[in-house]
Amino acid sequence: MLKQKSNNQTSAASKPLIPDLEESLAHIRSTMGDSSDLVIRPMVIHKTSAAVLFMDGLVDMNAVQDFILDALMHEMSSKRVSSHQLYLTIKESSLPIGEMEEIETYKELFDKLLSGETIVLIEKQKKALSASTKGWRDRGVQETTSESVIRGPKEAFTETLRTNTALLRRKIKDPALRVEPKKIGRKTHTDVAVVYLEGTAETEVIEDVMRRLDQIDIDGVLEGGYIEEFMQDAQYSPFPTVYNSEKPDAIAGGILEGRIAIITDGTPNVLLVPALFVNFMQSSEDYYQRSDISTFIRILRLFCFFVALFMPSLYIAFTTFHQEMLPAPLLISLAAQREGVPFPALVEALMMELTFEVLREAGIRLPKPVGSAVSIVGALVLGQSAVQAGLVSPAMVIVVALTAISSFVFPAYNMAISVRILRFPMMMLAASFGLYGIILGMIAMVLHLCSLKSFNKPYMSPFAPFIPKDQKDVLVRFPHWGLLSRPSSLTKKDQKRVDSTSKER
Amino acid sequence: MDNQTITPRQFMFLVILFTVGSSILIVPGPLAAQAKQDAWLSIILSILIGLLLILFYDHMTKLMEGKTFVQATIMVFGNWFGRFLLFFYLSFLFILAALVLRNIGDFMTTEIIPETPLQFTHILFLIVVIWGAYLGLEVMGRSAEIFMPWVFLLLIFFTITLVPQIKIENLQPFLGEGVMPVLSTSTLALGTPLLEMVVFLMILPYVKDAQPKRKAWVLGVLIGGFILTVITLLCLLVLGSDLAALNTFPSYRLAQKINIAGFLEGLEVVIGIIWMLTIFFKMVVLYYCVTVGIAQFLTMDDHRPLLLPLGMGIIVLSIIAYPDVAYFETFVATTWFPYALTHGFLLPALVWIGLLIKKKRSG
Amino acid sequence: MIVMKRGIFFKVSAAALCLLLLTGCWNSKDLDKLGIVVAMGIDKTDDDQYLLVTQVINPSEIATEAPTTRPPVSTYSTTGETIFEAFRKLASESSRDMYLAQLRLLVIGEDLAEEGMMSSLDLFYRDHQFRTAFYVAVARDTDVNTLLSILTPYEKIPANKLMSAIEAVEQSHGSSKGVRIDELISQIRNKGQNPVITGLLKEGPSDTGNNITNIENIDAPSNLTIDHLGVLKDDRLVGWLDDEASRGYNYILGNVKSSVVTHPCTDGTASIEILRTQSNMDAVFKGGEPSIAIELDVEGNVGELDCPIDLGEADSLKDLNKETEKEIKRLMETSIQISQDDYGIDIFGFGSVIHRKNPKYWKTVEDDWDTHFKELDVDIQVKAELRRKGNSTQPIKKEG
Repeated sequence: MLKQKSNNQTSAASKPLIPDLEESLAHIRSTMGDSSDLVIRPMVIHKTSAAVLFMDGLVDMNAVQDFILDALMHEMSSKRVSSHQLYLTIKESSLPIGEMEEIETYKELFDKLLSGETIVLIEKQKKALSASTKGWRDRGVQETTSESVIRGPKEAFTETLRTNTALLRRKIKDPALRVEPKKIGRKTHTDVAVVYLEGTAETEVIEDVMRRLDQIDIDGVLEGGYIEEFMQDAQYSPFPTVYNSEKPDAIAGGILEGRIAIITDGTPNVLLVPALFVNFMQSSEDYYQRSDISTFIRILRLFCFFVALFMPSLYIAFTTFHQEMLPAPLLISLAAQREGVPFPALVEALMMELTFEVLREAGIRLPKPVGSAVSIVGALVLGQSAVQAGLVSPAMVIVVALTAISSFVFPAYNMAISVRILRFPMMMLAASFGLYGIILGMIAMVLHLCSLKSFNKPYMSPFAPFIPKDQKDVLVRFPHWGLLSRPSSLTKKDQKRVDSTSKER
Repeated sequence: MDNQTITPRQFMFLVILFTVGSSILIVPGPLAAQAKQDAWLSIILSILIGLLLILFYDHMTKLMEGKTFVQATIMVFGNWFGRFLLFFYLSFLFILAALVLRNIGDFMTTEIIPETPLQFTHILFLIVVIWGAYLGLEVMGRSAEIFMPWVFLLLIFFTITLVPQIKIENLQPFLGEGVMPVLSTSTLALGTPLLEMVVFLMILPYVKDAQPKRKAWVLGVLIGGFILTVITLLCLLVLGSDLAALNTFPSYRLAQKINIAGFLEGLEVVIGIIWMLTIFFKMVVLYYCVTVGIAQFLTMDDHRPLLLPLGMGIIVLSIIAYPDVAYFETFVATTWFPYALTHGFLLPALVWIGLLIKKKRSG
Repeated sequence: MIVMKRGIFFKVSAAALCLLLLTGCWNSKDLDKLGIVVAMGIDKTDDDQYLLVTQVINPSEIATEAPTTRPPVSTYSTTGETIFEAFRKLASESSRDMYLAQLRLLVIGEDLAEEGMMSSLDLFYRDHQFRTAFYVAVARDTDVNTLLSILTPYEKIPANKLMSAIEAVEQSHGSSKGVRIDELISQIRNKGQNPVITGLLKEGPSDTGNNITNIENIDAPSNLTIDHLGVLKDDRLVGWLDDEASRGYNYILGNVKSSVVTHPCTDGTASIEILRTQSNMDAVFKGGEPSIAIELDVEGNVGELDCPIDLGEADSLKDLNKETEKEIKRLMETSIQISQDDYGIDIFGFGSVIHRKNPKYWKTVEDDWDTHFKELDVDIQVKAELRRKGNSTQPIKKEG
């Protein structure tokens, strides 16, 4: 049963229920302002007046019909009893509903009512019953759209919290899997569940997560992003310190590593903390493919990280400062390409990079059929004709395209975005100081990265501080029989993962 | 001083980078000028002498009982005389930091971006250094861990690509000028970087685990010294002692010789990157220690408010420190060693004696 | 704490931003503003000024799919008190910033070379833009201006043609040798060795080379060739080695990678393809007086056989070996003889060998080395080994 823990202290709302039914209904009506989706079904059960309240659209109409209205109106034994007796009977034996609770205040009543439960009010009773009849239309578990994989489960989380916890339960059938509820948002009362493995996740981290969730005071939480921004460690950093994914297997993997998932009702994106830099470079598919393939792909991703971050700035630095770095034939052909281009390399690069960002954004926003049209316009019309018109050099187009493709290699979209943002200051530095600027920018970036923490775990571990034991699953992924222990940069408890003798020799 | 600590490994990396940084630019040239083809011997010699120095520093750290050099000196000599001594120590570090900054500025404006004014080169570099010192020792140690593999990889790459151009004759005749030049020039490498290691007396108390500390330090100096020796050897082997001495930055000119299959040329900028990384860490260690030292000197709780004002001072000092490169070359060759010896050895030795006496009295 | 962190963060980033906006880009030069210099020539003019000839490439003409009639390179010549001054005067002639890192070749006029070239080389080693990978050569019997104005067929950039020709001659014939700037400077400064330098020669009538029609002919009337080695006393050109002496020089120093040795054999000639050479120079002291011992190991194949010998016999290859050894030894001796008797200059670095072997003795002769060199005994041992005969087991010319 859900344990209520109020996190807004408005004492006026916790008014006790009024025993008089009419008055009580009047209070409810006036509080709700005669909302059209509030259904109040008054009835008389053995001469005692009662009322059934539910929100139309939030409840499973079949359940209300079959198990509440039917039970109350048809199947009650015909003996006349006192109002209190009736209440007890209904509570204990008449309603065939799984989840049922007594409520005593209007605050609780509205909480339950508005989250889709059915309330049974009985004349002259200070308590009311709330039966869980939640059921609304959702889109069901579907294939993930934003994190596609070749191999591995394709299912994605949905907007419904309960479905999401179920998806996790189905992956980890261990009694130690804890699902702790929270409600955040003064107006939205959004359900949030904190999911972790007791005994594997570090107690301090769990407490820290709880504390940070509890101190959030906001009117509404519509997506996990609200919570992320409140609880992330680095408030002024382009780098994400909270991981999110809509794939249950990725989150379950994280939970098994001793991390903590935060599921927000209403969004398929589940947060995972602590999140280290390397986590954003890894995909759940790395664990499904064979280890050598995964290792290669991980190194490729790291390479792409550098390409996406430094390629345009290196191009600027090489062509405007350090021409001696270019082999002669390349230099000559680049110089020939640039003849007649009216802009300096920096402007050329900025222009093309911005164009690309605009195209990318437009591609996402537009409806799917139009989206492909935009990419054709972008690729062919802009790229091709800009070169032919002599506005940009062909090499610049290649650089921008390479950068763009590289930035799509990251499994984590938020890391890709931050890399794309950082590219611009790098280009500025490159244009004013050449490689000197780029290197200093890189040093500053590394210093910043090393100073970051995610829930008190150093962001750059296991590189800095260097943890030799954890290298088995960072750049290189050992075969599963070699992943003997959990990453100690994430949790120090319950280290053993694999029995090394269990592999076939 | 927010009780940040670093691991012995991070400390070792900082020592390596400190040893290599800036010495790699300024040592091989003058060494080759004086000791000719035996310059590498004097580096090895000075590293060996330097190891004794390290053992001495290490013994001092034990006596300081978790205090930094500044705190220990004030403890031993009292508020006034202690601060009098520390004034010299801190000014030494400050001047050294300014000179290191000027080194990177000179290097950059000679070889890579000659038309950029020195000030801006310095300011940009110092902003990053201040950022590092602001974030603290822990972050410095961790970033050293991030960069160390790259520095090693690039150095190995550098060495391997130069191997085909090595001419063993360039090292002969062995000890052709006698032993004297080797001995006399070893002071040069002793002054830069070994006596400058005195700066680590400010950091050592923040290194975790007492036991591997000394090992980390000795190993760090050995590895750093090895890198210095290899680079000097390569300068001699590839360029010859005559050209090595003729060049302002022989190790950079060395990189210009890299030519892989006629295609990969112009890699010297990549080598410039290694030098920049190592000098950055030398600079950030120095700057951190100067500010922490001054903060402790003034009994401040936090060194961070000092970072910007001192930074302005260091920019000015680095520009006016010496008028031209020729002046600096004489300065390095003649003045620096006695100056470094006084502040890097005699001053700590004085404090060491004080610590010994104090220890005897109390126990 | 957080408030303070934010304060600093903004301050630093604001400062960085101002810095960036203020700095502009001092060093930044866009590629299309650069004139890529591939070759330079220096000489003295009659009124004792330096003449600087600069060959700049025209990138759009080289990297194009539709060539026009504009030449792929242009030359500019300027004069000045110093080379640097002449170099800066280029600005008035050319609209572009001269970019020097791609310099392939520095050609020195014969007059200047005879006068002494050291003072004019300083700039080329000092300026940060120059890299050390370019060759230095002397224009023989022609002035640098005409030499650098010749358009070459096949290879669009004449400097590239010259550079690859120098390398080709060095590697497959051994009759000349490319000298890079740092090698040259270090040898001039070295007392134990005097440098040699590549000679460049122009062939054909003088007035046709700089015209684009030159390369429109199948056999371009004007062409550039590499010619032997110049001998330098310190930094002054004193003379030239002929073809044989040049090859001997390269054998002595072990520079030959591949070459051909032709010697007579019964009723004809045999050409031996040299594949590898390994030379070893050592100083031997006998009674306090030094002598030089050179050992040369040669490995080769039978290249062309125009004489009726029976290659099936084991001894015949041995005979060829002997003949080859004799021929190579003759080349080497010629070379040493010319430098000892005609020029009296140690171009082989025998002095350095002695220096390395016995620094004490070297100190006594250092300043007067050239006179000692004239009397120096040189002992040459050549050991040739022919390993394979090629595709034919016997000469196609039949015996008898």
